[in-house]
Amino acid sequence: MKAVIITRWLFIKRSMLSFFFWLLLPLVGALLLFAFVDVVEDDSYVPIGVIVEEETELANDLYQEMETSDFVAIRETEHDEAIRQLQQHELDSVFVIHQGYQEGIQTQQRTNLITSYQTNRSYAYTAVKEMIVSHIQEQGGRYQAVQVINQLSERYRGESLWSAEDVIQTSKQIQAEEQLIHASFQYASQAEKKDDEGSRWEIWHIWALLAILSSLLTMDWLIKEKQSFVTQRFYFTKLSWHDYLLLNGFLYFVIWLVIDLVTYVIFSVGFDETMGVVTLLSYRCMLTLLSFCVALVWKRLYVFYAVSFLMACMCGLLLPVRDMHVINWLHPMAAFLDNQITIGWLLCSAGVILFWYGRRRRENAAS
Amino acid sequence: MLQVEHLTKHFGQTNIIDQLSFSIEPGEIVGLVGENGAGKSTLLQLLATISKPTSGSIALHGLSYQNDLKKVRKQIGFVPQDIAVWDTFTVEENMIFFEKLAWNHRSKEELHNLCQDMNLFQWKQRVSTLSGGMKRKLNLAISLIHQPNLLLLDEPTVGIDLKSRIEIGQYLRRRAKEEQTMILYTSHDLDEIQRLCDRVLLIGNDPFYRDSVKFF
Ligand SMILES: Nc1ncnc2c1ncn2[C@@H]1O[C@H](COP(=O)(O)OP(=O)(O)OP(=O)(O)O)[C@@H](O)[C@H]1O
Ligand SMILES: [Mg+2]
Repeated sequence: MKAVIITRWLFIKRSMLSFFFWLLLPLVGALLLFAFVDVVEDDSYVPIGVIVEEETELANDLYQEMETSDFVAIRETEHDEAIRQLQQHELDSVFVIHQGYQEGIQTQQRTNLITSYQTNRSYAYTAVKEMIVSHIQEQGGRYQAVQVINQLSERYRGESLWSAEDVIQTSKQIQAEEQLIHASFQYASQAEKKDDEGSRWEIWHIWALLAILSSLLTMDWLIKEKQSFVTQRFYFTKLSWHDYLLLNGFLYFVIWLVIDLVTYVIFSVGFDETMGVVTLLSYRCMLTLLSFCVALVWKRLYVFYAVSFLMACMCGLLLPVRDMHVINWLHPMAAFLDNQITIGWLLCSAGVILFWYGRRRRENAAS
Repeated sequence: MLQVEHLTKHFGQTNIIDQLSFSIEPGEIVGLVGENGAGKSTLLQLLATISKPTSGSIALHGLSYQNDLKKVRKQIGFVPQDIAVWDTFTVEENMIFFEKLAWNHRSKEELHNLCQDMNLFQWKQRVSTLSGGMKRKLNLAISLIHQPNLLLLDEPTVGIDLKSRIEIGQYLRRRAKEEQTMILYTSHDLDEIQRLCDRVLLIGNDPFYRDSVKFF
């Protein structure tokens, strides 16, 4: 093994830059892409201007309701400023909560509580308006209930048993417990995304995909070396050609494992993204064997590169539909992303290599 | 001593080598001549254990090619017709690469001397920037790292100038006499064969070679 390390080093030191580039691509690429995706997601919130003219509990309630919405970013501003930003399309739309909002709700005078502004490019206006209307109806409904209950109790007992606060509190409580209708606004493509769970694995998704590409491309030494006339010399060395290749493949596996360990630590410490160690190990094992197989099969370097990119692209493109039964079964990344041990692809690749090794061994001994 | 008996090699229906028998004594340089396609490379590959004869037997110092393959291989130095070195490495790195994979250990100094003996002084230079003659010398030097008893050279001097040819020739003569190495050497240059070799082995049926070789 020492001979393999020293001889490999002679190759690697000639191409340090590309060697480390491909080695670190999954880690660095996943970190960069992840940061980029975060930025894009921030940008994808629609900015909405809100002007709150009164400091009351109900106005505040509405403001907070708008703020908790998943797809809008609420900016509290001044009236003139908001209109200016709206005209320049810096704001999608503007809503003014007028002075007298709380009183209007409480007294069932639901006109002119809110003024809204939109442009022809307003995208979220209707959705936000719907949300506000439903919120006002909800709030107004509670005060209506207070009125009705009070009227009833006055009629039948002559005294009020329920204070307005009691009624509203109870109503809120019932609503919270029942959650009969839960409306949330989402982009269509994000419809499947549930809270944080869905995005938890995303950095490993990106990593796993880049790992396929870089594992394949770092195996290009095999293609380059098997094309050389030098292979003839391996009849007269202490390592036969197939042993030399296999041990080098193993060396790459070990190097990859070290990088994977670093990746594991960074992702779990920095991002709190846990992943099973055995899952990771089996995935790396599979990747090394698979890349080795692919490099054994192809003769020309450019064909090998083309096949590698194609494979990585296919894996990436099939990722969104991997829930389909057949694809989930065939996809090399599927087991890994479900935090399970990769077995199928690993055994297949190992089988091919074993077959190749056995045949080479027989040929070498018989010549 | 190398002993070849009734060696035959077919490729499909074509008979390239037919019932060939000869032997080489230690310290002897034998020239192998024949027209293109006569089967010189084929014979060398058989002797180098790279391919298997259809029939016949070969033995090196009493070791049979069939039964003691591993031991036989340790004693063979094969210089391929193609230049089999790593192009991106320097001369030094090439020597170190094959020393690491060789059965016996050679110090860096020994490797360096080996190249110097052959008048190859570009120790730190990259192979891709070497001339054809220098590459040929390196091609030979690598095959000598594990100190073989039997040296098989397939046109080692193709495309190199007279000075380098003479240098390589002188080196081989010295080596044969000093280390009792058996050398089988192919070339299309009959003058070179005449200058270098103790004996000539003719294969193929080309009358031109038959007549030329008669004069030795
Ligand atoms: N693997 C093979 N399969 C079929 N035929 C082969 C194979 N290798 C060599 N031959 C044939 O055997 C014959 C001898 O080839 P060889 O390379 O030994 O000739 P050579 O004497 O070395 O010629 P040259 O002087 O051109 O180097 C040729 O006709 C060649 O086509
Ligand atoms: Mg030839």
